[in-house]
Amino acid sequence: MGGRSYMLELKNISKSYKSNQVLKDVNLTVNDGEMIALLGPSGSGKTTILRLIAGFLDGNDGEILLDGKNINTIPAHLRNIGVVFQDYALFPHMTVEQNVEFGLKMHKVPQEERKARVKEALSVVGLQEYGARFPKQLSGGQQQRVAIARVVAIRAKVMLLDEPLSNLDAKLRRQVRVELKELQRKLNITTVIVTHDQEEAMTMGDRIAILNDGHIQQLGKPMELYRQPANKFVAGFLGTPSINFFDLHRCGPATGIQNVAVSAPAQLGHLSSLPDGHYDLGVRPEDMVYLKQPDDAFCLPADVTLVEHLGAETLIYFSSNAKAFCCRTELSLSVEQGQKAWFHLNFARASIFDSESGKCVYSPDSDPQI
Amino acid sequence: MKRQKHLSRFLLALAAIVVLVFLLAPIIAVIGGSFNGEGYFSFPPDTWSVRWYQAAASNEEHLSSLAHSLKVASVATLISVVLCIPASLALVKGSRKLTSFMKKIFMAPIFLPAIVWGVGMLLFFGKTNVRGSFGLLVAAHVVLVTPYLIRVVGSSLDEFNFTLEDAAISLGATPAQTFLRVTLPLISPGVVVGAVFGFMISFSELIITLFIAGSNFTTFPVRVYSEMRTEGLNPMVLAYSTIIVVVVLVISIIGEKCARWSRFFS
Repeated sequence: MGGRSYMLELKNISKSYKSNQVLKDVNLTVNDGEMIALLGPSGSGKTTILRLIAGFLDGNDGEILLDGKNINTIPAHLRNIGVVFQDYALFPHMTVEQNVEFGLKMHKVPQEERKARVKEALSVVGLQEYGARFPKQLSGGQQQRVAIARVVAIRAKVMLLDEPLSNLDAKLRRQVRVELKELQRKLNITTVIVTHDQEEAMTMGDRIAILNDGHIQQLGKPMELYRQPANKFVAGFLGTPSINFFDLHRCGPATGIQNVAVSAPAQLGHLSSLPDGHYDLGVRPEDMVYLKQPDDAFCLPADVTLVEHLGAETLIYFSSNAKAFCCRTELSLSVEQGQKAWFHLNFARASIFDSESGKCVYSPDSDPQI
Repeated sequence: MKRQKHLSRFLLALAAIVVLVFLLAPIIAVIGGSFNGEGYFSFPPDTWSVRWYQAAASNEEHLSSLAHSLKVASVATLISVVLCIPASLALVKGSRKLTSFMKKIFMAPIFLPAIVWGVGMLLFFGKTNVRGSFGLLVAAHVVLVTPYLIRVVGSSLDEFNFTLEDAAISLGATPAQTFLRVTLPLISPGVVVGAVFGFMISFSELIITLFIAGSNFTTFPVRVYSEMRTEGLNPMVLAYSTIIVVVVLVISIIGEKCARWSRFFS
């Protein structure tokens, strides 16, 4: 397996429906054989991007390039871009084999080669025994593999996956996620996956493009995005429980976090070099440290509002100055709801955002461990 | 409580029986009457015979009007089917504003009283030489039947997953191939039901046809109606009716068994 793969580029793509601009100047390069996840809340424009690449939508500004060639004006049926739809969109009146063969017939592949390629595609997805069945006789996971086999059979230049796991139950989703990623690697096919599930994006995407409001907010490797978010949106969108944002106010030597004075700003280290002003300090729940008693270093007094024991980890939700936060710890602690507590913030791993623009003004260097 | 439940069940059953009798009694009378051996209508029959079936089988006039009806109904239905598929697709896919307007236009023939259509057609075509022609009759029936087909085909399109069309296109199918290999096969049960339904409406249509039919091209309902006005009820008509009832029954049973036709009318 693993034929020639193609590079897909989106250059300055904008798209409007009447007065509603859904995509604003989107630029994206998907390297050959790479899998990029488009991640964003609903309405962020990710499905529009997918439909533009597939050719189901037109009338966009900008260019879509496949191996450097502009495909804007090529109709969808001639693009040879395979799509795996959310509901799989298998043809219910055809058997599995006929479903896979459909694209080959459309491409006028001679019958003998057709049979061979159908067989090959079905064996790639492990469904060689199921050719004679109808889609409704298969499980959700199997149906999805048929949808992939259809794409494999036509040797699509690019594979587009539209929320491919959302119709599967939670347990199956994990399993299929791994299989799908392995399959994509094996096929070495340039892939774009659209999802609103960050776990899916983090585990499957070689890189992730985070979309909001028609813009690509940030493009990068999963852990880069997690550790060095470009703005508040990305920081808040990635990670469950979400990142904690603390009000950081710096005025000369006096620095306060959540209205609590940082007694020795030197603790903040690099943070102290910021110009005066209001900032948001982003600290991941795992970068919070629970204390039973306050100590000399800066620590935030808080009331514990909820404790969730998840086995391997414990989530402590707390409030401080009427704002809600969360701490994640691997230690098994005897913390109880309603009690007082103090928290250290791991400044070394915190990001700082400009309060007004939301842009990141400081983020820690990438962790050597990741 | 229990007693109340029993009572309401009993009343429901009673109502169902009354409605059923009301619906079926005329048909049973027709079927029974067709086997009467005498020269008049009587139910239950005074004597039993199949003489009216023999008479029906050899009556040139009736047979030719029956053939006319079948011909008009077939051609009108065929044209309607061809018209209704693109129309219903446009209604499902088109912009909301346009389609809600077009829906009303398409449905107009259902809501407009047939007598208005009939008079209108007569005024419009009465003085021309198309009146009474086969072509005019077919055209009138197409107008009458198409709204029903659009409804039935439309309801099967409502269930149609249009993502399948995107899938077909992404696999290399042209729009025409997509329609022929994916859309049409999947909506065909609805189209067949619509066609059967439309055929029956056209076949039994009387009022508009009365206005525009000429003496040289009489449909079966028109012949039966005019004969009844001049000569009274001929038991031979009951024989024809019985045959029609049996044919319709057989088709409906097959349709229900093979393709659950009733789902298109719920």
